[in-house]
Amino acid sequence: MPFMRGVMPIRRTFFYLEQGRVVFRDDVKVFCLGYHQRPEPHQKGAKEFIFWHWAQLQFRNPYIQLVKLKNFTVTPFAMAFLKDGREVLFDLEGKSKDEIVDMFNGTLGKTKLCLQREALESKYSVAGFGDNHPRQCICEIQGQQPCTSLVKAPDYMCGRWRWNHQGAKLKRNKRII
Amino acid sequence: MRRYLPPTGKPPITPPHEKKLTRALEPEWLSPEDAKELLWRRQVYKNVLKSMRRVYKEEYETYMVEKTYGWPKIYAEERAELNHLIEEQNERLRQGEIMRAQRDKENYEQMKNEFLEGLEEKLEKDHKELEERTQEILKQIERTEHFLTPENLEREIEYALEHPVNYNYCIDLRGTKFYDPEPLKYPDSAKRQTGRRFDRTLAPSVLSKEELKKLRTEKIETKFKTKGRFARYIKAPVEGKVVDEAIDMAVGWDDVEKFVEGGDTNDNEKKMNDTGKKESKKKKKNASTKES
Repeated sequence: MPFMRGVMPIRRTFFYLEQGRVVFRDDVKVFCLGYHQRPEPHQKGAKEFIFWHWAQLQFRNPYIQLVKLKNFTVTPFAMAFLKDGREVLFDLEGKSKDEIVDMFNGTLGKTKLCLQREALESKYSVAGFGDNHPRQCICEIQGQQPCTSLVKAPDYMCGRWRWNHQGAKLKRNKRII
Repeated sequence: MRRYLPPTGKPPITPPHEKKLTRALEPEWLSPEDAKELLWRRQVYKNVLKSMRRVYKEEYETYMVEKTYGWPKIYAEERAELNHLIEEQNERLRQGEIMRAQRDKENYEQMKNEFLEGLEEKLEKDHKELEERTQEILKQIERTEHFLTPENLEREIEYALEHPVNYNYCIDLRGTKFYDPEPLKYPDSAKRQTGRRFDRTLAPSVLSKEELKKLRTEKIETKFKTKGRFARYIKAPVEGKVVDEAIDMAVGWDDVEKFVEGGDTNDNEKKMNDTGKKESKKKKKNASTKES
């Protein structure tokens, strides 16, 4: 089991993954990185970044498509594709893995303003129901099922009927050996 | 623990049957009134959804403006910040491109110079070698003048016989070489050529007394680093042989003086002298007995 030796398993522990610093903005949809399998000294940084920080990137950005391209170009590079169609290019030649992390974070990472806006949005949600929201229950919206406290729901929507009606019983009996 | 049979039918992951790919399902027959009713219902449903979405969107926007105290401003600031960061990154890329072009140019120039230098070195080396080779060949051509051929063979043989070369010499521990004298074509003043005497031991009488005396003085002077001190002790050739041996065996100047005055430094010399005396006495006795 070569993966369980040395530094490799540490890179997949929960604690390590949570320490990831690069968290992209919501505008970033696709991110691809080109590196070399056998890098020269000035191409080493990209490969080290992949080795150490790729899993963290995936963990902290679960809704972004991350693509690795091996031996694609002469110089290592990274490219981000934004929601509005723009492309942001990064030149990784001659840079160490820490410099690459700082570069990504500084350009497309979540800034203070971004985090502030997200916190406010989560606090004031229009899609919520309850006491601190504009609507108390979903049954107030047109097209939704009314509250069962006022109007009885049909049988086929109750769990009681779904698990216990005649057809389900027969099926269940047949399948038991 | 119960074991349940798997559900019947094909697993969902498998592809559909080939027949199903080209199958065209025929819908059930509907009466025109039913069809019209269904169409109308679908239209109404779609319109309701559309209108509901628009209503909620408007509600959201007004809500955001009222309750969030100017959130569109935050959105605008965020967009401006992103544009600014992207522009900075593009600027960095442009600078990097310029530097890369410069670096590539420098590398190219360096590589070109190295290549040219290497080429020059190789050309010089080739030229030098060519010169050496031509000189060699010219020397070889010169040497061919002295090569033996059937035409000049007899002449060369005669020359070799007329001018023999002697490579025979003796050498002592100090490294001084003693060449034998040049061989004479006609030794002992004979008209007829009898043989070559190249070895000194074969021709002791070749050297004259004066030459022998000179040799011995040179020998002593080189050994003891003196001049003209031991000249009176040089003796005749026959006895000089003993003197030569004594000189070789002597360690210091005192030993030589003792020997010359009559004393011996070595037992071998004593024995040699004693035996000589004894032999002469014996001879006298023998001679006297015979006479008697």
